Amino acid sequence: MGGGHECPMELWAILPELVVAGFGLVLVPVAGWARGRVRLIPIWASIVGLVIAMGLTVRMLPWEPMAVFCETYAVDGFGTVFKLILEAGALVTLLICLGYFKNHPLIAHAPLAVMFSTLGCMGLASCLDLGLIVLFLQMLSLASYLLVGLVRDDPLSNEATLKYFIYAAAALAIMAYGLTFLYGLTGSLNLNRIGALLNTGDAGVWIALAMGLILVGYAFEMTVAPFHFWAPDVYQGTTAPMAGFLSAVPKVAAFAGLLRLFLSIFPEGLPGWPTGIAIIAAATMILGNLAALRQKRLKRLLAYSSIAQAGYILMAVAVSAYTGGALDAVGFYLAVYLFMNLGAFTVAAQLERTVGTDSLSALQGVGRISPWPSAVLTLCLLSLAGVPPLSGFAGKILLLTAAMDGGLVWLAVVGVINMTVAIYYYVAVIAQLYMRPLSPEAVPVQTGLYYHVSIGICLAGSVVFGVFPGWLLALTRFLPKMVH
Amino acid sequence: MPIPLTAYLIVAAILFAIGVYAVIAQRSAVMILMGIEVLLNAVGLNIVSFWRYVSPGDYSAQIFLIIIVTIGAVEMGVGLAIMMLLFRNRRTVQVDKYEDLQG
Repeated sequence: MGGGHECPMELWAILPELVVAGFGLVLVPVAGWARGRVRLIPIWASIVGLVIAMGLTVRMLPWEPMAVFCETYAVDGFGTVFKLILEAGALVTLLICLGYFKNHPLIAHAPLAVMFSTLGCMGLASCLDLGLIVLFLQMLSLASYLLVGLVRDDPLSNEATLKYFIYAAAALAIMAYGLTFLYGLTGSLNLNRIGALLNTGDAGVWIALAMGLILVGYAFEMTVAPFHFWAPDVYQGTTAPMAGFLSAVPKVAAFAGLLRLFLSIFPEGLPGWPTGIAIIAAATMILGNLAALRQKRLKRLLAYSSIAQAGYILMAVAVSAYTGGALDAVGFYLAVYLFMNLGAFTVAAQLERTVGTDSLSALQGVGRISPWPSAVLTLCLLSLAGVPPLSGFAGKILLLTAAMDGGLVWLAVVGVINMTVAIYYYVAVIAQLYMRPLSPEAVPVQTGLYYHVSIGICLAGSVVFGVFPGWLLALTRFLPKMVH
Repeated sequence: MPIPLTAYLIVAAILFAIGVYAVIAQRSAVMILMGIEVLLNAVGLNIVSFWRYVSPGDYSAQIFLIIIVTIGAVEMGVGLAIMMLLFRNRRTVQVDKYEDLQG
């Protein structure tokens, strides 16, 4: 939105976004009239669209960083890598939906909201303009309201929608208020120009106020303390595939958006940022892990675990401007987190669809009658716990190394203690699967082709990148290529 | 005497405070929605007054305002739709009546 000069329509630079948006828009009327077998058209078309978008995104990886559309939108390694992660998350979510909403009318509507939410996430990871940040964050949350409230006649789902809507809308408005101060201090909406014009010396209080307010919005989407309390309620109330989506895709986008905003405006770092974020990180992981210890339901347990995971990732965000490896660590961990978390939520979805509940007691002895889903859940939980040689272990090492390189040794120590405590509740679930006698009313967990595909992808992500972290690090090395 | 920028910012800050209070203290979901609208209006007033005093030549801040107004309208639309759905199923939109999700 620069003043006066001509802005060319550089549509070639946003082809992946155009594909996702195009498929989403075309499918809106289709989902409206689809009946019977035709109901499957939107979801299959969305899957095709996402695969095309991923192909187009991969093509953009080696491109030199550039800012398009009057420097409001970035095409760079940072945005491209995060777009790939987000598209992969949406793809896996749709595969889970194919199994979960089988023979259910909602199979026509779910993919649309997933597509639009993903589009908002992709934009948030790439935009360079304060106005666009608000717009894309709103696009993301608007579609997410619909995802949470997908099952309209379920009282728990209604309650989850109400909570998510109120908190998300308030967090967005508070964040937008913070963004206006960045404009007021510099007279520009462009992140890089704000970075060049902002005088960190005399405006310290105002910058701190603005960043604090902006953090509210991102902290909400990242489920970071003290704005994490909505996550367990919303995940419990909504359907398992949508809880999985919310725990993975918008969270990755919020981390990407926060990092882009921070690194564009303060490439040299901001005094007080490492300490402030470190305190938030420590509080988040402690609160998440302590609450997870006493959960009786799988989705609530995964919600608190995902809160704790957000705390681990924040360890590297705190030092992102100071340590070379921090960005790679964040990117690596977010990618493997997406796979292991979605893998766990796939099994939660299977369990919920078969048994009708996600309570941990329904898992008693299920390892004997459903060996395959139990093995998947075990591996994903062990990876989340950070057991070698799984991906979560490699990711946690990277995060801890980054925190220590940045001088936050105390935070790394807090992180290690937390990761050790967390093993307890992950292993408790696994013990429930294998060590307990089979409860008489237990039934084999439903499986199906689509679950297998989604599980296969998630397992590959949770295991392969642990054994060969170099494969994923080859992708994350594009992250530091940002528009400046 | 021209009105200084600070005056506008103070009005916006008061609006913001009213909005936050409404979101936190109100029990009716519709009133909370009103609070969110007040919050968005604080954002709008802030950005327009900054535009007028900091960079009146650059109109991009007005686009920001249009985005904020649009978001307010969209949020109202979706929010009221959610409230209607809730009211149809439970006959109340008092937020403290929704307390099934706990643990």
